[in-house]
Amino acid sequence: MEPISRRESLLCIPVRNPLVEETRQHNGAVILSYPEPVKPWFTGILGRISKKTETRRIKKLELDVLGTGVWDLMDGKSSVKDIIESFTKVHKLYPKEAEMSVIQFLRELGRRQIIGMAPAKEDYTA
Amino acid sequence: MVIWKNIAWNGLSLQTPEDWEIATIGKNYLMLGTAHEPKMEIAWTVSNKLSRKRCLAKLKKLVQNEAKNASVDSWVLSQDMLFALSSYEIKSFFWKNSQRSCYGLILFCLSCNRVSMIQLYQKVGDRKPLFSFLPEMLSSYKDHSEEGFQKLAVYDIKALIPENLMVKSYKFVPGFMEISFTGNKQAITFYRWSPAAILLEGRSLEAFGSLLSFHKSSASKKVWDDKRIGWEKERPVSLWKRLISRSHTNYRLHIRHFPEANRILAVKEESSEPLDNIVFDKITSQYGTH
Repeated sequence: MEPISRRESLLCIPVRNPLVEETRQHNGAVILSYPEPVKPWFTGILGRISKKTETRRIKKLELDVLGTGVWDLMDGKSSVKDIIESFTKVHKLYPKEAEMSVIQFLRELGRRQIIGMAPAKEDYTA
Repeated sequence: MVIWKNIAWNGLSLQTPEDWEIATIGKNYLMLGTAHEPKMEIAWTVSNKLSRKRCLAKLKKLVQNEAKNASVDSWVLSQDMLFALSSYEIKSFFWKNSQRSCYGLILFCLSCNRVSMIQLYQKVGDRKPLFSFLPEMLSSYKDHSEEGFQKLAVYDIKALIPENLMVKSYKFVPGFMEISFTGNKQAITFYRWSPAAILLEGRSLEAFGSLLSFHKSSASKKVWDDKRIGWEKERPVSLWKRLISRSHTNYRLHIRHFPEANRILAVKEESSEPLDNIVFDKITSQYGTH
């Protein structure tokens, strides 16, 4: 697989994992519950002790106000670039700063398999 | 028509096209580019007459490293460019590899002895004229101040600093910027936080300032209004008191909230030879965002 360029990655669309559950707190912040695969050696030990053979466990991630804002912008249609632009506008941020924060946040969500990246629909050769 | 913006860093300032951003920053180094490609690189150092040759050799080596296998030639500057750089001694160089070509300049400032190397990049096949705005850009190039103050204009902050102070350290991370200047027993640090609305949610500017790691609770508070607050502590006059209190410096911290820009800006001074009050007031009043 060839690495994609910066321009191409900004046009990708973050898509939420349908297995992730969101709980909204009274202050508007979101807690995400997501399945995390359990390591095989741990499943083996757990099976011997408790006779349970779970291959996944549910983990929780509490988002702060800024994280919740980005999470809400992920509608399955908006590209990374669109999300950065909206985030910049809402918080009156310096564009480069907003880009770095959003990308770092998306990378973290991707690492935990809370989101995936769909390829852009646009023709990015233009 | 080119829309210009000002970039100023550690004694050097120039105007660049609006879409050029700082991609990499060092104490004596700037790499500028658009979102997709590098456009300009500037490296500088202060030399005396004896070390000028050494400086030139060092810069030559730097250029050859970047040019890799490409041969380094010279190029002829237009009359406009020569006029724009009339206060400098100039050497030019040119190299081209498979991806880009580079038009380089080495400038010796005759009044401040600064040696700067400017490299302007153009992607191979790019037909946009590089030279059309170059004379105007180069004429804005300044490597020393003339009014006793140097400019600072990086990312979204701008400030005026006494010319004798130099960048000591800096930190640029999302949401936070910190730049420290030192010189002549004086030290000034600029801070910038964003987004202010989130940081000040449920607390006042005073509460925010009190939580800062460099806030001194023993300093006396000065409140202008709910958007501007300061803390000051003069160093003890007598040596004995200085030894007892272990405080050798004058401390001033001024914080301002800019709701329209959603930023919090602060200036801290910790100097053993304090800045003149008029100078400090000028620094705090000129520090802003754009």
